[in-house]
Amino acid sequence: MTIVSLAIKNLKRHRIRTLLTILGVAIAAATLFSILSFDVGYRKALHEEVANTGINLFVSTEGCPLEAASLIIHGGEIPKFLSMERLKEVKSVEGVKQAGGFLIFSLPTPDGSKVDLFYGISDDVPKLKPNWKIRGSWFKDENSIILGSEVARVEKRDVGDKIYIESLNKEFNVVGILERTYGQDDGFYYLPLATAQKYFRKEGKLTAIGVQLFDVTQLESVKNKLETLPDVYVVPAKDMSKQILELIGGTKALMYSVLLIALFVSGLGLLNTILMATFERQKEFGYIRCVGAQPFDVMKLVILETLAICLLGIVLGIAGGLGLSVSIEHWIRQFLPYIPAGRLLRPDAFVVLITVGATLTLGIIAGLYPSYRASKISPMEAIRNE
Amino acid sequence: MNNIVELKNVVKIYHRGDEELHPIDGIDLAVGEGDFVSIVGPSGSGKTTLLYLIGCVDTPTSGAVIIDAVKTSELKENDLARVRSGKIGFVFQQFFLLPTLTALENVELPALFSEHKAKEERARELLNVVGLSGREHHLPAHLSGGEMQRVAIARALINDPKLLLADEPTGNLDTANAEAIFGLFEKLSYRGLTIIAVTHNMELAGRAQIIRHLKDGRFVD
Repeated sequence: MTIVSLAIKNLKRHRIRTLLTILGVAIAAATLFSILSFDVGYRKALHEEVANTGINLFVSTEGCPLEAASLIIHGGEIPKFLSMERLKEVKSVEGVKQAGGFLIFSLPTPDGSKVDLFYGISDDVPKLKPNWKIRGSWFKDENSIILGSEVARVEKRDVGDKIYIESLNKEFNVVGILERTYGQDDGFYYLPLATAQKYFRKEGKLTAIGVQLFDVTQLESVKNKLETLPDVYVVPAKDMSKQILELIGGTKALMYSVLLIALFVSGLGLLNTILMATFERQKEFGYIRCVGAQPFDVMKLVILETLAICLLGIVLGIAGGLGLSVSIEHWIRQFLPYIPAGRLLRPDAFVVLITVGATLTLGIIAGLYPSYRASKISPMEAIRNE
Repeated sequence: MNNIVELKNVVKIYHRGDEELHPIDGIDLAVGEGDFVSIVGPSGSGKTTLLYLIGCVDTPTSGAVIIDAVKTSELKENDLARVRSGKIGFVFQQFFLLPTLTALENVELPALFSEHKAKEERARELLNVVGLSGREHHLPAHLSGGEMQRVAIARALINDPKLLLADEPTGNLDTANAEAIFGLFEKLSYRGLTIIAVTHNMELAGRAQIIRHLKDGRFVD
């Protein structure tokens, strides 16, 4: 027998109480694990998404450039437009490698049950979207349409099929299906830019222009050159990541508040359990002291019991966090103003380390007072009131 | 023969409100190695307090307590704990067996807090000595009162103490089990262990080599 096995056996005396305390710690650990996984995952997903667009700069008309940039990625309408002339001018600026025009529109279906998002794109856009894999082909004529993978699944359409868009009262030929990107791109209808301009009555207009540079170190100089064009706002992609992270700051603050409450409640539960167990065993501790245990031995025993609860709670919490990550991610997505492509919960060694470290620290703090109380029990307690 | 226990004019004073109590009031005692001593006396005579002082669980107000040549009345708490661990075994009326530990593990328990860590074999031997061979893996709930007290005696012996202190060890036992426990003490004393037992039972006390009568905090024999 060791002092560790003694601590574990002590916890088995009140199995249900111990189990409930472990569960409390597990909930706190799972919350911590999930929130940290989200923090890491969201940042990575956002940077990946911005990197995968292949776009270094977003050009839009006056208004909030962040909104414009966000809409290029996410879909949505901007009531002001750039002219096609701007696309030619942007392409001619020194340092610009590629530039592609976007026209983005949303239309509610006639029954009002959903909103279809349409993305009119120029032939340059695939060069700006290196992560796109299209099954089938690029646009063949003005009647061609490419479907995002989610749209294709919902509409049960494949390459070669026809699709009738009720809101446009027009039938298109499905020439390609965009393979799943796990982002917003999966939910769009893609039309040739000229077709989109025609059906949305915005001939010669663009919502925004995505720009790829030859040399990203020249970003500032190219941005300055682009800003000399009239009625043009330019936002670098990297600034977009930063601003989006600021945009979700409120959501993160809310999540960290929930985490603090979970940790506090769990710590109190742990303190209560260990304190009760200490009060119940005064005579035992007295006896142990009587047979030679030093105050530190008693303190060690109580701290070990606390840590055993914490460790089991951590294992259960991390396993629960991993097991429920899909549901947790789905839940978190509802509160985010911006959702990048890919998984949002990405636990790594750092997340595990912080979860283990923080929960054990919580355990040690919660166990300090009860262990101190236990260590102060006099050997006389064992024999008093015999 | 060396004295394992020596008490020199030991006084213990307690205060209860304004009242001053003298449960031990100037006691001298010498107990040699291998002696089996019974301390008898009426309730409130100071028997248990005396046992606490000898067992280094309590300290005297004045006078000297010497255990195996160590003047324990001058030691600090941590050093007293070391003396208790290394030199003294305790047996109480309430057995203080941990309910989640088996008989074997209960016997091993004091060794966890001593310098001798691995004691399983020794614990088995001691269970054999107290007649509980084959009951090693029984939980206290599955043992009778007499068996539990025998486990407690084996546990008191795990660190090879020089002195065994027993406070009303048969208080919770029937006559047959009480007889068996004192029989065991006789056997252990014969092997050289010094035993001091406090009891109300004069018949059992008579089985010790030495009987000391205590009244109002003083020996009266």
